[in-house]
Amino acid sequence: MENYIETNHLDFSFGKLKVLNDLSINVSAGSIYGFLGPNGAGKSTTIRAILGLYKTNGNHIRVFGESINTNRLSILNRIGALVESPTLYDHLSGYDNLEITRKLRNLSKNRTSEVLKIVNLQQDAKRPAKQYSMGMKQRLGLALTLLSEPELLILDEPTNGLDPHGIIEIRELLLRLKKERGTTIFISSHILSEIERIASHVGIINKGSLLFQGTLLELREIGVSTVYIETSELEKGLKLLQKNNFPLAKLNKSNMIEMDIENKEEINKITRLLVKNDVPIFGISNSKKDLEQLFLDITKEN
Amino acid sequence: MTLSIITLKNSVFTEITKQKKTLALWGTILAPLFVVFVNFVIFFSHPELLAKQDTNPWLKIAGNAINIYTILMLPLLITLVAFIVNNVEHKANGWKHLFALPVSRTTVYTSKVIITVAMVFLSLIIFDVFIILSGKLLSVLNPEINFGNFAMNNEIIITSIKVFLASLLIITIQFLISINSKNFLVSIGIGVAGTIGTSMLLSWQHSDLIPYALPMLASQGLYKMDLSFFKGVIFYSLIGSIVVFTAGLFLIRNKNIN
Repeated sequence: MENYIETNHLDFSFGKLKVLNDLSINVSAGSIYGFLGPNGAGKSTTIRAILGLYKTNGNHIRVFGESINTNRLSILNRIGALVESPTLYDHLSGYDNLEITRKLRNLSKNRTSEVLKIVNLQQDAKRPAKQYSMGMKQRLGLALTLLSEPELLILDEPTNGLDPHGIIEIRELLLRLKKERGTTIFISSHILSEIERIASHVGIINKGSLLFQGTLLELREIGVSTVYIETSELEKGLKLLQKNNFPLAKLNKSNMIEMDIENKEEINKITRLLVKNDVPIFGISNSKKDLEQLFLDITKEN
Repeated sequence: MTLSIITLKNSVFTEITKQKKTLALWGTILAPLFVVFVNFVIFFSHPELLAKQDTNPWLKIAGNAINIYTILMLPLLITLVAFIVNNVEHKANGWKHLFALPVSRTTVYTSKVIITVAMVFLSLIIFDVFIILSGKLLSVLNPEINFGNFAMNNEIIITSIKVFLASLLIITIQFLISINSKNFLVSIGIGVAGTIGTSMLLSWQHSDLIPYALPMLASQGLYKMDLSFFKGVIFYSLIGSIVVFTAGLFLIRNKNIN
């Protein structure tokens, strides 16, 4: 599948401070790519570099297959971007705010009312933006990005500071865009649970380095999970396992053998080993760490 | 091509929209109005200052107002307008949005300079209109002032065009400062310091080197009835403003936008 965003061993520094380190991300067309990382991980820097707001050398960043350094304006013409808090001229109405971007993009006049409808702000369009609630401001910011019906949306923490209701609204809107228009969405967040609900792909960044990239399913797969085994031969089973690649197997309080495994294949290995050596298995279960825990583990390790 | 006429036109229009209801637009109207009003009050309450036979009362009415305007009000107005035109983006976190649109940085920068220059030009037109109206009003209210057949409309207009050209250097300097600094104190501070410092240095033999003195120096032809444009101060302003404009453009094109 075609990659809409591609960074190829991207480095970026502010003076001597290195903020992005050998970052290679691929956002394929039609995906919703969740770009995850704790605050200060380099998410906004990456987004600014992709948009050409930060100057990078060479052709490490390609969008729609073209280098941002040689085709910036034609790339930006196909992108809608919301970088951190939305740009709103407080003294102007929501309508005028949209008109400014519409004129700069040279779009037809009806687009303004169309996007107002999409984000459900028709009623408040004539009010000055300074009277808007946080959620309305964020929706207006999103409307700005939708004016040009972009093929690619780049959203930097679009639900920051929103209440649960506002978060749900934005989430549903994004899912609708993807479904109805096939919009590719690159969305950053520091909250995994938010991304989990909409993303098809995930990239996890910490301290400027990419720690994981893949589908949401793949992320769940790599997760360490814990296996519990019920048996009448606790001692024998435990020694067997410890000798055969599971040195950390242990007895837990509820008299089960407990150990961490890396993937599902290992469950197969464990059962074969035990059965082969005549350790009866009365029960085997595995508990998965939830994604939240996984995300914390991944970003902590680094 | 980084600067297309259509996008530039659109961009200038959006800058006009952004200035709706801002202090900048009021400043361009109120600054000349204030100076002309005070000037009017002075000559209305002291008509004897104008009552001499054989001297053109317009020379005093216009000259006095132009002096105050060019020495103090105009540089301060330029400082304010350049600050507001850029602060509208600083305040709204607008730069990152503007520069992530398919519009070149050159276009955005140029249209903002154009709107700043246009507001200064507008203030000078308003100034001319007010000056001429205030003189007419004086002649009606104080028939003892000898307006006779004297008229100076052309001279006033030509002088203010010269003042406009001579103010381009201050405009580009204040613009360069304001686009690069969010800080109110930096841009306004430098403008106020430049203006007041200059007013104290006017008698200095090299005062024609100070950018903030150029509008006043360009206006002095009014007294000598010398209306030629080919003066050192105007050349200095034109060439200087091209240099500063280009430097500002270079900076903004290569800047990392937060």
